[in-house]
Amino acid sequence: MVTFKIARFDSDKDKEPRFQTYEVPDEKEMSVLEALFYIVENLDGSLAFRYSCRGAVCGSCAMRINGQNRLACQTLIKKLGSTTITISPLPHLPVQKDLMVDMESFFAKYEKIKPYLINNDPIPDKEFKQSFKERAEIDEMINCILCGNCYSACTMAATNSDYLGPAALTKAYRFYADSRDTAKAERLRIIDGEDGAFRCHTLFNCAEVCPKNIVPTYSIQKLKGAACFK
Amino acid sequence: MKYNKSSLLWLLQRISAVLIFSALGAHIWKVHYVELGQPILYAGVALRLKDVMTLALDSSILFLGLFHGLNGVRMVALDYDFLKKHDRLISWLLVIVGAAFFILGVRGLWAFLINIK
Repeated sequence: MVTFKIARFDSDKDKEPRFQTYEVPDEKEMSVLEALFYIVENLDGSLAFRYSCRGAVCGSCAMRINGQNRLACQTLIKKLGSTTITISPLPHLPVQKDLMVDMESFFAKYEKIKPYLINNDPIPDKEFKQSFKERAEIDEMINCILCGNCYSACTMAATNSDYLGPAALTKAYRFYADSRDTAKAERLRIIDGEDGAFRCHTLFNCAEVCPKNIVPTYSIQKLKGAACFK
Repeated sequence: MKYNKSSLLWLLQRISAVLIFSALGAHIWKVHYVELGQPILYAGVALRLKDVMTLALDSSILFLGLFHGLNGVRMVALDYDFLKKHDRLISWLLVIVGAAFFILGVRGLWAFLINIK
C-alpha cells in the first residue's frame, strides 16, 4: 500500500487547508493521477483535481508532488521512491478546491504577450516558408503545454504579481524568434520594463520543474539581449 | 539603440560587474604587488596610494561597486509588490546613500594624497 497525504481545502467553507490520508494499493506502473482516480472512485468522491488528456499533453494535472511541481499523469509512483506521497496544489496560486488552483493570472499574462503569429506581409501563394534552422530555434518553446509548473515555481512571480512569468516569456520568445513573425518591435515593447523579462533573476526554478524539459531562462535571456540591443 | 530604464540598468549592471573585476585586478596589482618580491607593508601601500592615478582607479572601483550593489538592492526591492509602488522613492534614497558613501570613501583616499592626519 502507498500512503497519500493530500491537501484538502474548500475556499467556500474552510479557513485553513488540512491534509487527509488515503491508502492506495501499490500497483506496477501506477501514476499519481491513476492513484487519484482510485481515491475518487473507491475512497472519497469529494476530492477535487483537474485532469484531461492523461498523457502529459494538456498540462491540467500540474500539482506539487513530494515537494516538487510535477504533472500527476507523468509521475509514476515507483519513480518517487517513497511509500508516502504528499500532494498539494501548485504553490503561489489561489486554491479553489483541494488540488485545483485559480489560473486566471497565469492566462491573463499569457494573453498579454499576444501568443499568436503576427504577419502583416502579403499572404504568399502557398505557405509562409521556414528553414529547418529557423524552426530549430523555436523547437523547444513550441513544446510548452502551459501547465503553470514554471510560473508557480518562480520566486519572482510569487512576490511580484505583475511579473509576466517564465511561461508567458517563453511563448513571447517563441513568437519573437519565429522567422515568419513581423511584430518583433511590438513584442519587445511588451516584454521590456520592470515587470517583463528584466524581472527574471535566472534562478532556474522554472527549468527544474518543466515536464517538457524546456529552459525558460534561455528564452528570457535571449529576450533581455534583444531588448537591450534593439 | 533605444533603451528604457529597466533594460539600461540591466545592461549597466553587467558592464559594471566586468569593470569591477578588471579594476580590482589593477588595484590589487598596483597597490600590493607592483614591487614583486618585496614584503607588503602598510608604509609601502600608503606611499603608492599617494599617486593620483591610484586615487582615480580606487575612486572608480568605489563608484562602480556602489552602483552595482545599490542597483542590485533596487532590483531586489522591485521584486516585491509592497515595495514596487515606492520605486521612485527607493531609487532616490539609494542614489543619496550611494553619493554619501562615495564622498566618504573618496575623502578617505584623499587623506593619503594630501597627508590629512
